[in-house]
Amino acid sequence: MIEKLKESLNKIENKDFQIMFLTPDLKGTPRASVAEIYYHVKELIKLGYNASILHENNEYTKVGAWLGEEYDNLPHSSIQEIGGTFKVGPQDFLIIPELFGNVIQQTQKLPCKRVIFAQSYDYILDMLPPGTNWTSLGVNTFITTSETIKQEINKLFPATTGHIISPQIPSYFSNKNSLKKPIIAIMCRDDRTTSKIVKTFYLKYPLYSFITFRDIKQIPREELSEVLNDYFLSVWVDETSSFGTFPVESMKCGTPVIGKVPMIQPEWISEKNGIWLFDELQIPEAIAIFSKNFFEDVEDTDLLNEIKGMENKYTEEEQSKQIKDVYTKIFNERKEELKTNISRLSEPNNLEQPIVL
Amino acid sequence: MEKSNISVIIPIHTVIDLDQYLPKALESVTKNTVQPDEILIVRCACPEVTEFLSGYDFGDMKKKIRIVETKKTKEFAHMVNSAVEEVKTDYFSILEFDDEYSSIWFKNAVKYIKAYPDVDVFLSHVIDVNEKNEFVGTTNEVTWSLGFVQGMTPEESFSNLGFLDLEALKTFPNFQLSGAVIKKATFEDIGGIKNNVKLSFVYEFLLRMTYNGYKVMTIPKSGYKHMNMRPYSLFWRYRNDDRYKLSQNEGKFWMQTAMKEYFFNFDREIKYEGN
Repeated sequence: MIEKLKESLNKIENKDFQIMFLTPDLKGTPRASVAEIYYHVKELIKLGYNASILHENNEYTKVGAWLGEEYDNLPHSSIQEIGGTFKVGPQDFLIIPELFGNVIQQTQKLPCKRVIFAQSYDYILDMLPPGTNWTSLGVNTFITTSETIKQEINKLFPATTGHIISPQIPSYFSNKNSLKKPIIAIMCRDDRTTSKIVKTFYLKYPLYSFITFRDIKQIPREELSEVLNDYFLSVWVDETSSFGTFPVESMKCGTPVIGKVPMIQPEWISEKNGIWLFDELQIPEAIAIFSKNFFEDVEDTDLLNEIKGMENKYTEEEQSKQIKDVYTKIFNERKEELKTNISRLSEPNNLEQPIVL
Repeated sequence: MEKSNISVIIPIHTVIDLDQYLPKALESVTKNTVQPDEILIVRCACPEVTEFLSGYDFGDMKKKIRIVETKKTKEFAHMVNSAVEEVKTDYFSILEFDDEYSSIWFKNAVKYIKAYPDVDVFLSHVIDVNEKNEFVGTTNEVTWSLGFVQGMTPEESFSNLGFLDLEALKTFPNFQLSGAVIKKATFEDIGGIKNNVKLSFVYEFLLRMTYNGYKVMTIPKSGYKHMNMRPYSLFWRYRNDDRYKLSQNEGKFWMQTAMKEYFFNFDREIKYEGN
């Protein structure tokens, strides 16, 4: 046992271990949370680690079509395919998205280190069996995207250690100073909300019935940056959002956002960097006022200046540095855990102490 | 001040209410932060118009104004075509003397010319008012409605937004050319505005433009205030003046005529013989 742990320790030191990111199959639908997983894998590979995407079934729709072809070329493996040959050791890491609460339970007996990647606070308890918590299921480390979510998670699972890696917005989301078109990019978690906003707006403001709304959920990322550059306004309603990738992307493209403040207020929201409302019913009126100002060329300079402030935030460089720092810390923590266990096993008096892997 | 490469043409065929509206129309030009390079006032040879203009104090604008006289007729199309011959810039815009530009119009027109050099006509998002200056509606904005100009794919429909095409025009004829910024070379290539199609001259012009593959788009900015049915205006006379009044059938006839005439780049003689 001691030799095996020593071997694992050596493997970590020599970067000879696996970091597998369990990833849901979106069947081709773009989603920022999955994009983040791919960014982490890509960056870790760049840092010389053996990182890969782990998906459940053989039939998995890769993300190249909406995230970029290069992401299809990252290492992928399927649990269905490797099945019984799925072997991990104490040196390996399994990164589990927070929505896979059931997987946390199913993987309890694996000897690898399991880390939760919690991007959405809302999903944390969904699949977690009643009466259990991350710690009771053997997980004591998580990665999340902001200090606010980290604090909220620590309130639920006080014995866990959280690390923050902010999402990245690719550099192609930048302001190209295009002439804006009277088209509104809309993104609501619930499609009914989209429908209600659009219909209410047309009914209450028929003068603006020529303004087109476009639901951007299905648009590939790089194309979305062009769309956001062209459109004059974005509308965002996602009450359970923990970060809000879409509004940040919009602002980076110089497009103001009218949005409903989510339950967990994202750290980047300020009083003046958008038109933030607490009441969804006020959104159509806010759109009408904003539209009138657009057609009359009345610019809200405060708003536009605040939006500019978003240009240098959530960059790829910033995230690369965080990925390097956080994962290095997690790997080092694992090394310390293994060393502690080796030392316990080496002392005969401690043999009765439980060994936590 | 930035040169706009745009001239403004103001056709004047009557003195009725001219003293009331012309100062406002001219002021709307001067209020623009980007100015047109020149203003051409094109007048008919009517003595009362000649007299009015010779005694009019243009103030500081005088150096920018050129009076062009058309001897042919006092018809709108002839006046505009004559003035365009005199235009020295690459683009021009028609300002009816009872209308006004918004103060943001030329600034935006210059931006759009730069961004879309291949566009031949930039229509304005027109605010229509009645003779009491009360809001009655808007014109030209329909080009921004999804599906107004059909695309082969949804993507193409989105990229067509803002533009006008022949098929869309065949289903919806109501567009306003006043205030638009038009490429002089294209206007001349295509034969200008036709006089003989009467009230459908704007429609026929746009049909002819799009039929010949020229590009027409609406700038999504409120650029022009148009007064509808001012007493004694051209369209008011078509409806109310016994000498010019058109029956409903004749109105239809001229719109149908536009649909037949846009194949020709010259103004053919057309007679209405029905009733």
